[in-house]
Amino acid sequence: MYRNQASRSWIGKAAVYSLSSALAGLVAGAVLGAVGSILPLDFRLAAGSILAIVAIALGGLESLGRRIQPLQFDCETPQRWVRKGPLRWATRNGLTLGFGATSRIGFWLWYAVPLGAFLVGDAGFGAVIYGTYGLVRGLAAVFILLLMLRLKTDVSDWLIRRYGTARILAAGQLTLLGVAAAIVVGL
Amino acid sequence: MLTKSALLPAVGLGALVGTSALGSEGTGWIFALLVLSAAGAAIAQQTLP
Repeated sequence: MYRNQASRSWIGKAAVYSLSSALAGLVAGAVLGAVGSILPLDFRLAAGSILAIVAIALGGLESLGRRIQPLQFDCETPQRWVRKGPLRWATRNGLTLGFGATSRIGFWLWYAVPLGAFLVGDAGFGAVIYGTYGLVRGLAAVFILLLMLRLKTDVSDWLIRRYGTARILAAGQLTLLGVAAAIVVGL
Repeated sequence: MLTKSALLPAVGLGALVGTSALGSEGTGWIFALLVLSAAGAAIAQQTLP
């Protein structure tokens, strides 16, 4: 009985965390898309062309091993939130990580999320782009925890050791996006 | 090794997607790439120390 209750409580916190993360992304994306829709299409296309070239340059340099630190606040989740209770912690942490901008960014690819949501110029499309980020980020943490419980091994440690690989793959994805966008938007 | 092997496929695939998108709905392709990039960024961030 006690074990079932503990399990239900854990699932509840994980659900709140994931939903908060997705919600933060959805709202941020909708707002960015709505603000972007105010700007004329020509302006957004011009900005998209320039950003596509920047993406190719950054992705290319990172792929070739040149490490360029992304602009970021580099803030960790405040430890005092833990003392606010598990559900509040899950909500706040989910909202913060789903928004992403105030936490550790780490990869230039992240900038494709808010800038893409903004330049797409539509609240719905912006919400889908940023909401995907929030949902995946929230679910990924839950998935890692589940794996750790099942495999009884520190999966997060294994992931941290793959940071270099993730950096190169993210740079490759940024290059891919930049090249495709430059052709579509720029030509 | 991975650095050299990741850049060329990325450029090639990007060019392929870009040119395919020119003939059809370009914005749809870019939107799909942005959604994929969002998922990719979220997964990559799990490796942050």
